[in-house]
Amino acid sequence: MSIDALVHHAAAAARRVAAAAAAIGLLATALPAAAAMPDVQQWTTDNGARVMFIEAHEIPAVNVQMTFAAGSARDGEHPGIAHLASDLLMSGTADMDADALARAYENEGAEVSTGAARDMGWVEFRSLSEDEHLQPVARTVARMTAAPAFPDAEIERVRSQQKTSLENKAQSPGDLARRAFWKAAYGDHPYAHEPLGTPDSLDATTRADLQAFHDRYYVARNANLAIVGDLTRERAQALAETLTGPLAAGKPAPALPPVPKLEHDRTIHQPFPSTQAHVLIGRPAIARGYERWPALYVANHVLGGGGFSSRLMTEVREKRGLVYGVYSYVSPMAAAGPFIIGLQTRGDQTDQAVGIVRKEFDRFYDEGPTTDEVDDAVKNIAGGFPLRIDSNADLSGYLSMMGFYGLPTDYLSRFRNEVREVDATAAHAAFADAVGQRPRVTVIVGGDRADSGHQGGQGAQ
Amino acid sequence: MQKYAARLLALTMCLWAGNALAASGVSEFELDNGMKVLVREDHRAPVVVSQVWYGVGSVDEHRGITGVSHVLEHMMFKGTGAHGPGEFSEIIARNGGKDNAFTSHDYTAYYQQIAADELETCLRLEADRMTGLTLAPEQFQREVGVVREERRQRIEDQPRSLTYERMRAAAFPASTARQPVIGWSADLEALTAQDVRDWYEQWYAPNNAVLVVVGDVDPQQVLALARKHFGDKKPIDLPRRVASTEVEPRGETRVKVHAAAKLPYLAMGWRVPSLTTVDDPADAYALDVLAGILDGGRSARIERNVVRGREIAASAGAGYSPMARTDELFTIGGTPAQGRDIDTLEQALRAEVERLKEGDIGAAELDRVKTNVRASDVFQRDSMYYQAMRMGMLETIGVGQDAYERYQEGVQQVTAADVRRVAQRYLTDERLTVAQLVPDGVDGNAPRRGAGEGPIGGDTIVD
Repeated sequence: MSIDALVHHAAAAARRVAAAAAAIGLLATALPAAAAMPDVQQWTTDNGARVMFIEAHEIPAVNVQMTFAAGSARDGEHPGIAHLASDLLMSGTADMDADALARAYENEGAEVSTGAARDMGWVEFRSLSEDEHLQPVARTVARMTAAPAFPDAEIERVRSQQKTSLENKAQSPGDLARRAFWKAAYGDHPYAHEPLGTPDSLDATTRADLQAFHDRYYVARNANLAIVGDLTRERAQALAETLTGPLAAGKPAPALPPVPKLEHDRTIHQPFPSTQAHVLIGRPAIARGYERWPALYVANHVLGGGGFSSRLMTEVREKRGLVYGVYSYVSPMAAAGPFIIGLQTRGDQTDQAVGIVRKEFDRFYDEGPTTDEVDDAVKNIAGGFPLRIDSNADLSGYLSMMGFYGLPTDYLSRFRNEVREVDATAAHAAFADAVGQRPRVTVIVGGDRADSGHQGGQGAQ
Repeated sequence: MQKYAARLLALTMCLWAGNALAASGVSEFELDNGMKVLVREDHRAPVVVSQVWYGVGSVDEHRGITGVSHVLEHMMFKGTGAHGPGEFSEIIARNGGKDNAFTSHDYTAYYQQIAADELETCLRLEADRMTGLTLAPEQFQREVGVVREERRQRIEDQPRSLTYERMRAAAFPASTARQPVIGWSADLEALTAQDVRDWYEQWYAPNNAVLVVVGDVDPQQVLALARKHFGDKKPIDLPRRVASTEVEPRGETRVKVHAAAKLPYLAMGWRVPSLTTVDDPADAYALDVLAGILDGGRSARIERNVVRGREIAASAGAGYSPMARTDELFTIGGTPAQGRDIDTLEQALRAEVERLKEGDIGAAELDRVKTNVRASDVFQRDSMYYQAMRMGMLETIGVGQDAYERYQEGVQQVTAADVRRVAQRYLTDERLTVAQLVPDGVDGNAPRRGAGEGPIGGDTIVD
């Protein structure tokens, strides 16, 4: 995040789109060179939380991610409650208010945050690794996570903040496109709804609802812990007990229902006064643990996941200059996550760009990648392996994903080895099997404003 | 919600936290042709970050060609006599690496991240495009189309970015610091391949370049590789980099920006010195600490008082980045909470500034800021890319690698009286520009605004 923020601020202009999608696509590419393969240790805490740990002594710091199956897929009758519950963790405990919590962390130089997505809710922090800093931070994180006070005034404030976030999304054509895509592609599945809920659903959510949500999902047996940093195994084990000790044992969240099949093609066109149209094309694909994931990953790399060398980038940007960015990704989730192609282009170019993308999608489905394309993709993914795990922050992200989705500790090296074995036939077959072709959802939002940024009588200079 | 202005100094200035590393930890060399080479060893993984920085950016441009530095950055991937369009990136990708580039007000930089034993591949390719660029007109036409899409994506359809752009343009009435890095729309429409070629020939040469390498390398070997690939490049006579000075501030400037939006948004900027324009660096250190008191986390004053306490902002923040060749902006901004209006938010945020000038600043607040500066330094050592960024910035803005140490020490020396002093000196109404985003709604029927709601002064809207 720091780099992005810095580059965004300092540069404000760069060559490549840092699509959030790309980050999702990369989640499983961490592939250390054989020599640099980190040793992943795994155990379970006394009350049943799963832990993965990598010992890394290069800098005196520790990264921790605690995840719970407590994302918006668990919202049930209260759309938005998972995000509310997550935000309210930072609002205080019985004996510390929000100010006291913030001071407790920041006086030690620790960075602590909470968040939620569709599958998970999480608490993450990094801290200096010396006990004088780490111990008080960990104890406070543990109390905050296990026993938030949900003060009424804070509930009102955070509810109101979440409504502002909803309005913010409603003024962003990209967010509107994503919302429309999930709704159209996921029908009545718990992934379908807007994770922030609606103003009405937020108003209808009570303190008792929040407490019940927290009591059900923020429990040890629904928790997964990733620790990377300057600790011995013994200290890491003690840290894991400190962090999860106050949690009730509880029980794991139930499996999500299967994603319903799409019945027919849908194209949704939503007007919006932006100069660019935001386009998403895709369909539900696969869950984490899909056995042909390495081959699928290679296939998507060729189609639209591999940056400049990808087919979509070549056809839409490099040959025609229609977009700044175009990408595709597969996002494996607890239930079948989506395959999505995304782009943004000036409104009057939309049909042309959509036409090219659909044609490339169909051609790829029919013919698959070439042997040369697959060779290049494999070289990039396998060869780029050490880059993806060269920081503790990267590693803790991978560990967290592996632990949450129940992947084995040797997942990374296994993935790397399997990528090396992928050929064009296997990549094509995996794409056809996991992504398929139709029916599919196309969402087009915006592009309705005349593009005249330098006109309107203001061009005095 | 996205914060308006993250507090960037802690990110920008990575301050060594009293550990055993030597002064700057950087090996510095200069080739005979004037090219600088900076190397930092980091052996935690068998990888390397390689960057070539050029001392040219949007502050060097003039109206008519704004955005040319950034368009040239794009064209640097479009082929040389030796390598076809896109081939640079293809070679890096096939070798397991990734590459990209970025442009700012003060510099343009290109980077690769790759296995350490592929460093020479990067240097060979960078040397090739330092002087051998093709700049074919048809490539230019397509690529400038891409850049126009980039501008739409980053600015035109982003109400807050648009507001910030107009605020900055108003805050710097005379200097080129007002210009957006990506360029004004009309200039992007009018730019020619010849403009880009001229820019390339004027600025891209070894004596205007810095090679930065961080990773699993030996400095002497990097130097040898740099000599091998860049050593025969000829230095050129560089254009004078205009000292981008400003006119004296004469009073608060106000701007309203209408856009397709639902939420109002406030962006305030005070014109303040950067590390290179400040009389006494202590002022820059104190401004950084001041930013930390306002927005150094959830326990800082803006979050505590304006977001949580009085619930006037849904989100708000402050930022100051002293890493620039020109004066910079100390920024404060945010989005009103539900049921609050933008004027109330402005008053509340300005009241926090006034409290810094008059009220007490507790020892605990100062300690928290200083602790966080030390801790974030440790955290930033987790990223080689970040270390390289910092080295390149320090060099291209001209303060040098040792500015670090001085900065770290300086921040730790800052007192409450220093913070009050710089608040009184710099955060004055004369230096302030206020931009308010006026949401026109997003139902698509809102009238398109002309220039009628222009800022005080009438002369300050560009674009």
